[in-house]
Amino acid sequence: MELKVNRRFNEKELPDMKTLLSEGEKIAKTVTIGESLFMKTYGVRSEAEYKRKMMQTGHVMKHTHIGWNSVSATAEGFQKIYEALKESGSYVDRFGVCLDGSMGVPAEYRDRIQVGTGQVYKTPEEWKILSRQVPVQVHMGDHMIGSLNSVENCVNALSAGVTTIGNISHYYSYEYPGLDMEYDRTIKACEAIAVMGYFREQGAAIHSNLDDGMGSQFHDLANLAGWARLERYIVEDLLGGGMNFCFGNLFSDPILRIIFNKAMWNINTHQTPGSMIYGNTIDFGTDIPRNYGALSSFALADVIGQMKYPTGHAVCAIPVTEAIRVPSAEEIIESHHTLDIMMEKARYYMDYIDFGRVEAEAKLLNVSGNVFFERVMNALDDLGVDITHAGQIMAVLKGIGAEQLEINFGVGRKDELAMRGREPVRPTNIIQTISATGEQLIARMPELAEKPLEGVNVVIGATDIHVFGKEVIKKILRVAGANVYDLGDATPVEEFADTLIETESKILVVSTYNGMAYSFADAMVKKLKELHLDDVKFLMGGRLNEAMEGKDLPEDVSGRLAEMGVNVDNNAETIVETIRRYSA
Amino acid sequence: MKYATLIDFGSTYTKVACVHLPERRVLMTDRFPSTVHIDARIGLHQCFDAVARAVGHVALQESLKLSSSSAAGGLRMAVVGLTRSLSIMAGRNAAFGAGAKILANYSGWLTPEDAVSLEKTNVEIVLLCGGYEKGNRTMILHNAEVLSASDLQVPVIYAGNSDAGQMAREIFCRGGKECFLVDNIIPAVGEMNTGPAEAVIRNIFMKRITNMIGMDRVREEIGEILMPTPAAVLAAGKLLSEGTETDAGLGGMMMVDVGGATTDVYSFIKNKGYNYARMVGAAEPFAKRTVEGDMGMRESSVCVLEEAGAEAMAQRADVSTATLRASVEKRLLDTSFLADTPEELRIDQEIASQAISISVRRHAGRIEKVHSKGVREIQRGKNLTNVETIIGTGGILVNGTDPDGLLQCAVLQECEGEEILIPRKVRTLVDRDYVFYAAGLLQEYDKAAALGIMKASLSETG
Repeated sequence: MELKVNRRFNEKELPDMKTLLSEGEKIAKTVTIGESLFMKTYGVRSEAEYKRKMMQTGHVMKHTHIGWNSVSATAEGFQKIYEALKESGSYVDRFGVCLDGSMGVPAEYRDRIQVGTGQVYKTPEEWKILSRQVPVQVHMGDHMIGSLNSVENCVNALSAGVTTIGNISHYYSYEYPGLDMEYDRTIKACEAIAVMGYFREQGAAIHSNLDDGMGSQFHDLANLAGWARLERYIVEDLLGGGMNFCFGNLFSDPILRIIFNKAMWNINTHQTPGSMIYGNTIDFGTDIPRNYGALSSFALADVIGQMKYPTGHAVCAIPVTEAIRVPSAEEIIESHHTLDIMMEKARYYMDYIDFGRVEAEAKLLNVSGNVFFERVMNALDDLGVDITHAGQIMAVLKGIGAEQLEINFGVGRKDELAMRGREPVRPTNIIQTISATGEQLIARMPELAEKPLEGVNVVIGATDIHVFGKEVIKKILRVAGANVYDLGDATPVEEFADTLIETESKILVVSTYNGMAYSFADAMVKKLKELHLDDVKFLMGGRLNEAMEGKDLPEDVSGRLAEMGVNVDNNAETIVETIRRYSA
Repeated sequence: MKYATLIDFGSTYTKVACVHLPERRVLMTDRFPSTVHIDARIGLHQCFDAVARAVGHVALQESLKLSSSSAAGGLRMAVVGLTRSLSIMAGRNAAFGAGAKILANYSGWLTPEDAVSLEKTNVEIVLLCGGYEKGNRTMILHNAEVLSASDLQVPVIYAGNSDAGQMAREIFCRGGKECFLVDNIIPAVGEMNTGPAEAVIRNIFMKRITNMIGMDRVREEIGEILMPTPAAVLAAGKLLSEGTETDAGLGGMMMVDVGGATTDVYSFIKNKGYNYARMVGAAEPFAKRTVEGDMGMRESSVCVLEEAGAEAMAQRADVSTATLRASVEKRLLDTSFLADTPEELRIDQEIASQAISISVRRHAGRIEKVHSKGVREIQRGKNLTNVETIIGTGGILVNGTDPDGLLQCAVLQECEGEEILIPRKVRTLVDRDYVFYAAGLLQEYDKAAALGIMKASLSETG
């Protein structure tokens, strides 16, 4: 066994646990949990207290994630959604808001981080605005605990009356480019968890979305279950926090969602109520009727799961436009109405589902997960890591990475032909789905067999870290016979331009997601002109939007791109024909 | 085998080192004024006599004999590619890695005027590169046509898109030019394959050396010259950095050699994105060499003066600008000039510190801000910020009064921004006995001995 630990700092130099815990306690003593309008309305001291009550009464909670970037637009949206749902006899229990990436670092470094599409709060007062709007509890996940600014953000959120705070998993998967302060980040994350631990009895709950962190990189659910135990050991046993897991983005099998949530509940020592089960977003595409089906399928399962095993998780209403644009308030309201009919019908399934099998499967994941957990802990011990020190374990696990953990300590039977050398005990859905999406599209295009793009050179790349769309298109173009030169993620315009020259490609395909379609296209088109690459056809796909001229909401910019001469068909099924036509 | 006799046919000196292999130590070194212009064999025999005096004729006879050569100041090359960031960068790495100097680069569509200016540079080889596999044909074949139609009479190495290789060779043959085809140096995105191109460059270099007077007889006595001296030094540095299974290396390190006409910079470290910056451009080799043809103590001293500014240099050397200019003039007229007064020593020190400072900064990569949303910082070139050791070799660095002061010029200064990816803090060493060429020759036969003699030759500065 050969482990390569990509250490960012020497973990032995971290302050000892006693220091970290007492620092956390010291900070916590200066904090009072604020009262949100929700808490005031329901007479509770935390969201967890409310959730515990609802678990007893059988009320299934509902969650909506909001992705708008200004505080006032979000506040207005809250009002609109809350009122409309109330009026129609529906409800929502909690809103998830996303902090901007720049909030993940202390103020003095903020100018070095790209401001994206999330929320920015400059004062403690601004932190409080959203939880004072409507009696719907606010949840904060991104760039909170696990970021460089863990402590400050955690304290501000608690003071604002936000008591379910994430997202531990980001410690392992998010980076702040240009700011490598991993040592400080680890200390701050540990201290923030300790602060949450101080308020555990009052209901402060730490959220970790497994599908948003290193958890998403495992191929075997058994190892994922073991990884969850590792995260829980660090947060609860070593730092005293109360923790619950979120998941779901990557779980497209509805029954598997029930099984996995049961498995996670089985290891939830303090029975800390869950935040939400996130919607299965990998099935969402540009085909709206199919998206309704996708929403219904996961929502039904999650409701059934909560009725049988109440874990406090809210069920997510994901608007059917989620893969196309940042959804509007109307689209969010609509998604709740779709969810409501699923809730209405869920009870008819209850008597006919074999929950015995569900529990057996959950148990299997727990038992095999324990094996993974033990193996990893032994290995850490052998590596000289202090396995009673939360920060040391976090840093070294991150340095090892999911792939190496799975290869070396995975539970599945050894099989040289299998990916990562083992046959998964239970494979994750994402592994199956990514290849299936491409395969399905290819199956619908029999003409590809004639290799219509034989000899055609294509340069492809993504503008940000999202490469799923690019991977699918690359696969289709390769099957069609094209020579595809892939520049990977976050590719700058200069590199696209130089590669077009070195490959003599007349076709440039760019995938984008992060709300920068216009700025990127503009810079790219200028670069092509500058280098006299006038005969290059430039196709852009993905989410073609951007917040224009100081507006809050990203808007569709495909019209503007088309005016610049960019092809914005954004259609995987016609791209081969389009490129063939361009190359004829 | 007990002993190794290692010889370097330089343009100034013929050098020899005799190594006791089992004990992994240098028994003796010596050097004699170069005879390559009269008869290389004279220098060889002087070296043999010196070795025989130390270990005896029988031991010399039985010893492993290896040699390198940098005669005629190394091979002069030009690189013609398609883009600066990809094919030219890879081409430069190949040329430098093989031990050459680069006198000119051309990117994009080559014009007849470019070809005329190329003829004037006095290069000995043109490296023509560009295009990923199955990629560009039109531009590289156009460049082949222009080169072929020119009056240039030197071999061309074609290291571009292999699809167009045969066609390029035809074009060169029609123009009466010698053309070698090698594997594409940039076969695919993010890949680099400079080995075959480097081998051909060395091969051409060796052929040229073979034409030196007396070389046929030298070959009879010690076999073929193995490699150009800079290639040997590059191989030695790589070994010193990486170590062997039983003997640890020094880790991330650099070497600097300031000569009369050129300054060579070597770095040995795996390239990584600085603070996780997105890396763009051609892949960077672990062992990288660059040569600055306009940075040196004598022939190139006037270029150093121009680049660094006469007034600023004069101030630091504590002389008047007029004195500095006159002193540099002296160095140009007499390249074997030896600084003999405190003033001249200060001027030498100042020229060397500027040559090192500029050369290292040209060798290193940089962080650039880009304005397109999404990617904020990109890195071009090699990240040397984690280099912890710098070794000085040759001339003023070994014999001068303040090698540490000179080598510290390679480190980021307070007035500089962190976008320059040079070392942040280093310890400085010098190669006291000048054994790197010898270690480079020896490492193919005995890595442990090669590493041992290098480590023993290193001295802490100051």
